[in-house]
Amino acid sequence: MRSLLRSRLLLPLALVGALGCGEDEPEVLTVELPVVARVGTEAFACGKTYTNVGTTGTTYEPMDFRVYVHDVRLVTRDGQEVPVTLTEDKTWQHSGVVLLDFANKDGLCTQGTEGMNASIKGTVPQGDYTGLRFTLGIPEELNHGDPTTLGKPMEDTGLHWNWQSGFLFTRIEGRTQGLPQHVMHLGSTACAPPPEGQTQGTAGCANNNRPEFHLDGFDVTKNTLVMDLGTLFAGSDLNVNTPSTAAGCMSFPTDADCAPIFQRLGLAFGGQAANPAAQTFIRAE
Amino acid sequence: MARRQAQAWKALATVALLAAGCADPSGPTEEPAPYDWKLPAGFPKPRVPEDNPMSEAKVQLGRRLFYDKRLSLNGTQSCGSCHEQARAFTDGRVHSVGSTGEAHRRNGQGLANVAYATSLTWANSALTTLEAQSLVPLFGREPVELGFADQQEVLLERLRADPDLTARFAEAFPNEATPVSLATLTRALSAFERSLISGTSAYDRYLYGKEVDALSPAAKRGLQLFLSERLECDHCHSGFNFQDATVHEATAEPVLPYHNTGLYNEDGQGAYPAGDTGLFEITFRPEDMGRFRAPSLRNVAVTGPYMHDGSLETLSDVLDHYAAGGRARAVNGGQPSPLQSAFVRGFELTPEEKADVIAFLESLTDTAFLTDPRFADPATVP
Repeated sequence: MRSLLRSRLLLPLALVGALGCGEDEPEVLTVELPVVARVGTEAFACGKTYTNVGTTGTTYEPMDFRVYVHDVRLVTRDGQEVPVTLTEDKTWQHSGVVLLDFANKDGLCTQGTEGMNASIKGTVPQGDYTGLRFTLGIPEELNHGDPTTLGKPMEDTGLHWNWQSGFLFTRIEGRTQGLPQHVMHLGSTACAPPPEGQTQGTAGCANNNRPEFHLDGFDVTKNTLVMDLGTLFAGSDLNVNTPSTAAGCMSFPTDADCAPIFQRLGLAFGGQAANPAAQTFIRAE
Repeated sequence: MARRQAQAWKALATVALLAAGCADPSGPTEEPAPYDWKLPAGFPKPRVPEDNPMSEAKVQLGRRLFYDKRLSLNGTQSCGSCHEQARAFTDGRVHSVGSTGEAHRRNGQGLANVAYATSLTWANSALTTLEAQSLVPLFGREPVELGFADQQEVLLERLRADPDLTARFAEAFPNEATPVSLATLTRALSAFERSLISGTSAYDRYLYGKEVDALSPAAKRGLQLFLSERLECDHCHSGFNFQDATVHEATAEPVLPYHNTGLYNEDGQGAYPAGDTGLFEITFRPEDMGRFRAPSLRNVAVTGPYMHDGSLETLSDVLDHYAAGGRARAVNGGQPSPLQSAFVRGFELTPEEKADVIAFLESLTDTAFLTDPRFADPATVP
């Protein structure tokens, strides 16, 4: 945790001269937004055991924690959204999508890669920014493409929902006292077949399940994004699973285990309306 | 400095491009040899995804991969393990069993004429290309089929370690910088599957070959019953492929039909068993409960057991199910499911008529297809 903070680059880096072709080139601000994973007050790490999670205060042993985000924007003091141009590294960031990966191969985290990514990197024009906004998930125009040709970070079949022909926006998995595996897979559901004339894609999904996060007062030079499994699971009993449903929540509108989790993502679920204000999964510190 | 170099390089590249353009305005075009479908008489040309044109090299590579047990993590199964040529690429089991022994909830599907299918698998409107579908057996975990979930690199490294196979990939995909990739693997497998065309059954010889005696008198009577308003079979098993979910090159607007045949009605409202509710689990629309895709009936006599869950053993059982207007009526006091297809109304057949319909269905068996060396395991039939 400390080392993460220390290694962080705080960079309102003026790149005039380095990039500029002319005198009028706007100054560019390079941003690197740190994202830390936690379970309550504790830093998330594969191999650890967390206590007192969910309504029954069970233990939680991580097996995976990966999250896609896109459409990252900063908000100026006067309320204007300015898109962050994500730096293309074609490993964690590509086509405007970032894969945040908090799982290495320690402990029960046997899937995925040893590599981790805990920041969002990009550039924006210099400005007076007082807020951060982004969307969780893979954008619609990429979500139903061919995962074998989209390139990293979208070519990991472990993050693709093959039978739904879309991506897992989150892959959060762990073991609790009551369940050998608790799975939290967020993704679009109830997707129509491809539109006429196309062999891929969808004519639209009834449940897009892409939560928007608005962090007002976010200081790009000081603040950290916190993704907290403690608050995400605060309303869930992780020791039990509703019979005849997926283990945990795989975004099925008929799975009662999803209701409290979707609420904490600010998402609509079943009869529950979307309520972004109820979102507690991601906060700024 | 670095920037200036990059600019200079870009300028050079532009010049090079222009020079190439001047030398040959049409550009160097090397059209791959068109694939010879060897289509049976009366068969339309299949649609092929733009990013995966057919070629003989690709089909041959796909055939090797289809029968290669390295395509399962533990080396025990290939695609061909659950799709046997002699059974029109089904497996004869009630439920297919994956490489780790896990049973699938569904009955293995045939691959004959899969090139013409608008949708794939029993009840998934999202899977409309073989390329996309192939990821399910390779990487699926519910159930585990070939077992490569989270082991994608193991699969690719394994294939790349074989120089002969790598050379075949390079031949089939001459423009790829990385010849062995997930994209080329799924494309080669799909190209082979598209080549599995069945259209030389007795019925085809009768209809397209004008061989009046190719069909027995019983099969001819069965054909008339099959087409009759009494049985209504051809509403779902329609067209040259006996499947309404059919598309080909000239199809103006492909359709993705799914039907509830009244096989189950757990609650009197049409519910199917909780673990296998058909298209409903993709769309969550109440009307999609128990809806499944009608399979092609080509080679149907060798593809038993039948229905999405393999719950009917013989063609006679299938006819009994439809004659009853849906098997589930018996457990609901003779009442049909409110969700079942209007074409599943029930009918009466004399034993002779039933034998005639079965004789017709048997006339769809294409023995040449079931033994064609082009579709066989290259290890046994080079």
